[in-house]
Amino acid sequence: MKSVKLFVFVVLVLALAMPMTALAQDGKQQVTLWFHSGQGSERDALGELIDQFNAESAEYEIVPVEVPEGSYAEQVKAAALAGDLPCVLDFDGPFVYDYVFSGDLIPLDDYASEELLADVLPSIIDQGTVDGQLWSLGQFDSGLALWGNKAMLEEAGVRIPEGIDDTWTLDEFNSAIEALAGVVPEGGYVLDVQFQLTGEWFSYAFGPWVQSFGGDVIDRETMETAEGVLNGPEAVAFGEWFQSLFEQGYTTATPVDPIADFTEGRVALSYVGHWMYNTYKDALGDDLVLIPQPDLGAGAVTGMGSWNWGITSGCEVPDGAWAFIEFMMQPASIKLMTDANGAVPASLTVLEQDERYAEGGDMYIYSQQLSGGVALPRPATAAYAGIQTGMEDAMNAIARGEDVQASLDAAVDTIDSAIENLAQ
Amino acid sequence: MHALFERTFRGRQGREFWTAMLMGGPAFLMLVLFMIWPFIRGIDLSTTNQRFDGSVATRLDPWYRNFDQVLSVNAIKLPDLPDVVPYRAPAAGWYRERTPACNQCQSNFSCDITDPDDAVCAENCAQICERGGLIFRWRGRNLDEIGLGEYSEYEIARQVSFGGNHYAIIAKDPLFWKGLLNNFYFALVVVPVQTGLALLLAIVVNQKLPYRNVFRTMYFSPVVTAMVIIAVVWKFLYNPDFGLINEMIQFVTFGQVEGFRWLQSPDMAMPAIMIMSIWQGVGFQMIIFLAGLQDIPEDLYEASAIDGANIWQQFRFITLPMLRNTMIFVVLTTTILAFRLFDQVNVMTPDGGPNESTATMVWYAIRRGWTQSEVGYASAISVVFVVIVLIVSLIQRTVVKSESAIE
Repeated sequence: MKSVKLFVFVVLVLALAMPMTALAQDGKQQVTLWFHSGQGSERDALGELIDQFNAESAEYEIVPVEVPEGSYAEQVKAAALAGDLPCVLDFDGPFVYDYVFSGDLIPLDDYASEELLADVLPSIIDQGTVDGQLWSLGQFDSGLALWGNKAMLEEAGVRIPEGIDDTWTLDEFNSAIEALAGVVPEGGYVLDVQFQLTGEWFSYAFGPWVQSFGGDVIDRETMETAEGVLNGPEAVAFGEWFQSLFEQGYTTATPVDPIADFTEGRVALSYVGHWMYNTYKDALGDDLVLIPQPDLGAGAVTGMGSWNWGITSGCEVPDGAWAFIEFMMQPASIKLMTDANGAVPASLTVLEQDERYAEGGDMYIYSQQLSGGVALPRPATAAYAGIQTGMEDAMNAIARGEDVQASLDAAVDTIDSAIENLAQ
Repeated sequence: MHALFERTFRGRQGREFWTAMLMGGPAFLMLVLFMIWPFIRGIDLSTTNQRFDGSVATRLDPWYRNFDQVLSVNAIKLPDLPDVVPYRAPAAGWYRERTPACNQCQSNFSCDITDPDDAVCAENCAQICERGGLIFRWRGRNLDEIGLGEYSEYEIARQVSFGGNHYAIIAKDPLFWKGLLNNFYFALVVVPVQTGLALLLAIVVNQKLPYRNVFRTMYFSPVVTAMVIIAVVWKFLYNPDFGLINEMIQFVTFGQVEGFRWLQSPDMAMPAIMIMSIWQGVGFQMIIFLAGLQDIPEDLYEASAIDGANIWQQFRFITLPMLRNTMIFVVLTTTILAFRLFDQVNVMTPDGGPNESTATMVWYAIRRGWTQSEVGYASAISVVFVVIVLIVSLIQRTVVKSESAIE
């Protein structure tokens, strides 16, 4: 009996003492960090970079927490309200306006040296700049266009554009889809539009198509309403065209494994971003081609911007947080990351050396789209979360065959009420 | 008063009181911390415009503004149809839906009306397009133009037509009402079906069958599996093109029935979720019924057998009456669980399903409070939700009580 009591006592003491020892470990200051759990390769690269930083730094230790991507933005909001935000925060491009508006971040201008910024891709600096101050930096920019299966395209006799100057028009895109429909095998479909995704994908991917039809997701001049823009005749024309793709079976709103569908040759075109490059390249090899965003009437448009880092206003060790971000923005760190996830490196040095993005490279189209004015930033508004929800619902409704006008009207209502809430 | 105090807190009875408090304490603490306090906070928050994003919350003026928004409903007569219904939607007013078939026919044949052959084509195309439904475009900010300006805060919840006139039920927040109706629809189907099925299963696994424990475990295993996991798996099973369920329907009917667009069609989405929920939850009620069945003394059956009662009579006059209390418990808990419907909806149809056909009250509260960060408004929805569930439970209790009075 006595030995049992002693045992319980020892266990209790140990359990209480454990956290203390964890804190005291080698006297480094701890810096908390949140990141979204993206695809495996990106997560592994980030883990490796954090390990490198922790090994190198004498003063700081990064304590990472991985948060599921599906409701990442909501969890950040909740943590902000509860005052539980970490020091270093990872967030998707357009949310910077929201966080700056809510006072969740501190500007990076005092930390970032001109030398460092001179090597950063201009689109990354644009994305992180609000009211003339820099609030966030990212390791990479995104690329969005159509991945194609060259063998199938050639079999269908479809012209493969060389670059953004001779991209498909809407008519060409339509006839390409029709021709490819004769080539895809039983159980396949022509175009994958990644409808298994949830959240931000719908505004990131289909917002540009709405713009290419002449509409938009918000009135970019005033940023006060989406009325007449997202539910105007141009956007409705987009919706009716998009709906017809589902109606005629060219694409599906209920894919089971669209990535395997493309890599195993059941799908001819896959509308997805740079992050599938490594997977697709491994599977298709030289049959993988990148087709620039088609011009659907009002010029080709694609998305840009990606996840980036900021320092929260509640952070007690902002110097440590910056030390980590500075480390992440070193060309070597950026190279490690972009080699892993196939994204456009945010460092000019790395970009110049990267053969994949040089002329003739597999992803040269992405650099062309970014530098050639095809890639447009997502709208700079703190109501971006409303745009995200509105677009997600509307695209799903249209894909299911619901009335296009009514679906887009509903999206406008969601976005406008998000904007109204900001004004209160 | 003093004597009462003495009796309660001192002496033998007092010791019992303190023991009871000590034993019950943790549970009371939990109830206060996680039920009562959040509910009080919820009532408080429901009168503010509290949001997630650091903006400062203020008390609403009037304080019931959120509740007014949630609960306001009205019925009005819509303007008459114009002589020619346009295909392009006006700012507000009637238009005809452009069906995919109409779009296809117009893009496939660019009809030339002067050509006699083409006139037929144009005629056909016009007929196809006329099949598109009539839609009234209701845009709050444009309602003034058609003389409905006073309803600019409302949206259309449902349209009805009779006698050539068109009427609309309008609500300030139609999605809440839709969620409420969906909740009742779900409860009205799931509660009786699930209870009946559970009783049937309990009777089956109560027989002295070989391997009956295997069957009990099988029926019970979905209950101990996390709902989210089950919902993800069923989402694949329901896939209209490759899902196992449609494949099975095609196999069983020799390809005569194509299967359904389960989660993609407004008519089937809710039934799909009901089927899955019943399958998941039936094992729990089965176990409770099983316990109830085993409490029925065997000699009742023996006595009735001697009196010449058949199996149906035994079920009707012994099993059912003896299971009365179990039945009441099962129906009450199933009803409350049915109203709490959220997990499966959120996983299988995160956007509330086609035409919001699977939106529920809890789903809607979470969507407004969590996704759209309108905490104050979501609190108002939650308060209304609790009141509705309370009323339903009270009605059920009253019905049960009056029944026992008759007996």
